[in-house]
Amino acid sequence: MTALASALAYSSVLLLALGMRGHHRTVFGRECDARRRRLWVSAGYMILALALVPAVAGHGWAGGLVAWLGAVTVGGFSLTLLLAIAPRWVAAPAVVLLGAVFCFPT
Amino acid sequence: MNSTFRQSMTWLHTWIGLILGWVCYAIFVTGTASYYRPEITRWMRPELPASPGPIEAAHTAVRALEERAADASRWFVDVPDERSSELRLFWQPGGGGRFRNEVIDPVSGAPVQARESHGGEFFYRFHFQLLMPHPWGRYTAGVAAMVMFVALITGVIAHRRFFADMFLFRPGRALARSWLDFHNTAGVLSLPFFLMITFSGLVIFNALYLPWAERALGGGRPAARAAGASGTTPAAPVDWIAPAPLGPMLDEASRRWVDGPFVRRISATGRGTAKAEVELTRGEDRGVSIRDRDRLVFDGVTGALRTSGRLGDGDGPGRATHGVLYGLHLGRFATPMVRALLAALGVIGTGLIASGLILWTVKRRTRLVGAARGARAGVWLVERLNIAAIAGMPVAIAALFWANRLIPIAHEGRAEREVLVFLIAWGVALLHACVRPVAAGWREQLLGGAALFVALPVLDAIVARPHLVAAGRSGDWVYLGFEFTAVGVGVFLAAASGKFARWTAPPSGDAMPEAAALAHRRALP
Repeated sequence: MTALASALAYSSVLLLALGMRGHHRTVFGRECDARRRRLWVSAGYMILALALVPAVAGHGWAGGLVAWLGAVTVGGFSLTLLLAIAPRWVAAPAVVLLGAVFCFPT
Repeated sequence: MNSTFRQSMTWLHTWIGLILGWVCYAIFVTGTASYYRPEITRWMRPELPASPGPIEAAHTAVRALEERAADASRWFVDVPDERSSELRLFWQPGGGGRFRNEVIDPVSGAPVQARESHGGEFFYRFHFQLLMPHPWGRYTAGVAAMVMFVALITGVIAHRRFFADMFLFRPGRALARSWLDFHNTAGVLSLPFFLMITFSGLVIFNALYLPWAERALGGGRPAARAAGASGTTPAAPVDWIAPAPLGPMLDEASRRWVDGPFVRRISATGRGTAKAEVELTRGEDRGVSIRDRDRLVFDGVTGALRTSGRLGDGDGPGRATHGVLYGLHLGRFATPMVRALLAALGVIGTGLIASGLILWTVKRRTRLVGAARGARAGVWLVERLNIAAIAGMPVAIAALFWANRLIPIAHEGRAEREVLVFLIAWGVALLHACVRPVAAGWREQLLGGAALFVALPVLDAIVARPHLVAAGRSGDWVYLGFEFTAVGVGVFLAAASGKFARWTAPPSGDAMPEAAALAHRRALP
């Protein structure tokens, strides 16, 4: 459950970042209008809320909130480093984590 | 001096962060390590036999106590859980006197001949006692937590582009800009964790920091607690009333607690008197609060079950809140993955503090050309202390691990000797930082730490080969995981050593060319 929560948390911060003008340009190499950016951001917030579901399902409310915040923070920090060092690979952690969830569903 | 609110908050953030930044850094490093306290002990005391499981260990403990302390007035047992393997008995001999304690083999009950070492306990104790005499370490840690809390709040106010600069880190920019990016990102993203960890850290010792409420309220609780803690040392009872055996009580516990943790602590008090009582407390389950644990209380004479419930039953809102915050801080509720997340947050926090300290020097270095003597001396001092704290502490920790493997196992007082090696290594790091140029100081200390950490498994293979081989054979991932982590830390320090020399100091030491300094300053925000 923590792996799924981490995958969703990372995906959500990635979507939020892609809804920001500078980061969008860094990743895609082109501009994105405000309306499109709002779509990215709303999707990001939705997945962010969705990530709470497996966290709470796995750890209860108190522990789940801690796990969720931890996953969002560590995800956001990893994303920051990737955006700075290897912006082409920003999707990799989400893919790897989701893959891990499907390969080892526990 | 300061015209706006934000500027004055920035000023406060800058200076309050500097004063206790080094203490906060050490607290964060040791606190992060403390998430893995039993695992570190596992590596530092490899002779401790593996636990056959808590049920068998608890029964062994009770048998051993009946053999060697049948007439004791009080027994306590720390039963190992799935993360630890140390089975420790405490007992107070009949007629009062000092508590005795012994670590025993959880299968045979014989005393364990393991090397003396504080293990992970060293990091845990350092985290809030800072190797100082009681209670000064706890006071210092409390002041540091308070300062950290103020630094967090002023930092949020000082940050001009809180949301606009989210996920932003530009390592290629001017030094001060890159460090500020890093500092901001680390701070903003993990703000919830930092607020939680500093606030809960303050609350844990609230009775120590704010003792007056309890004193003013008086009442029964503090008195009762005092009696429980220091003990109304019972005189040897004239007629010894035989206490009930503990074995059936443990059986009762294993009937009730089938899934999840088993008994973590056994306590038998008032033995030999009519008031004898036995309490079995279960290990932490999913609940966050440290009070959220099952317990069974038995009559110590008849062996009948008296109460079964939670540790926190009957707690008022204050105690309940305290229990939750305490539990949040310790993180014992965490599953392995959540613990890994918490440890990662600890690492980010360490980076936040380190980057803040470095930022202070990087910003000032460029303004040193033609600056007053005092300003130069200040930057010189902070730069040296930064090197010794940030790069020197990993060296000292690695030295502690080396000492753990190199000091002869039978050496008298070897646990304290390990700590001494830690302190000497740290002192050497400070001296080294003072005599070397800044860039060389960073590079050499980080490389030194890297070499010590990377070589740790090699050292282990040479001097503690049987333990390493046994761990490999039995698939002991705690032991092997420690080795992998050590190598990982070493590789990280090695990678950092190349960058830090460039990232923390201008190319030519103190004498930065005027033009370069100007260009540098213009790049600042």
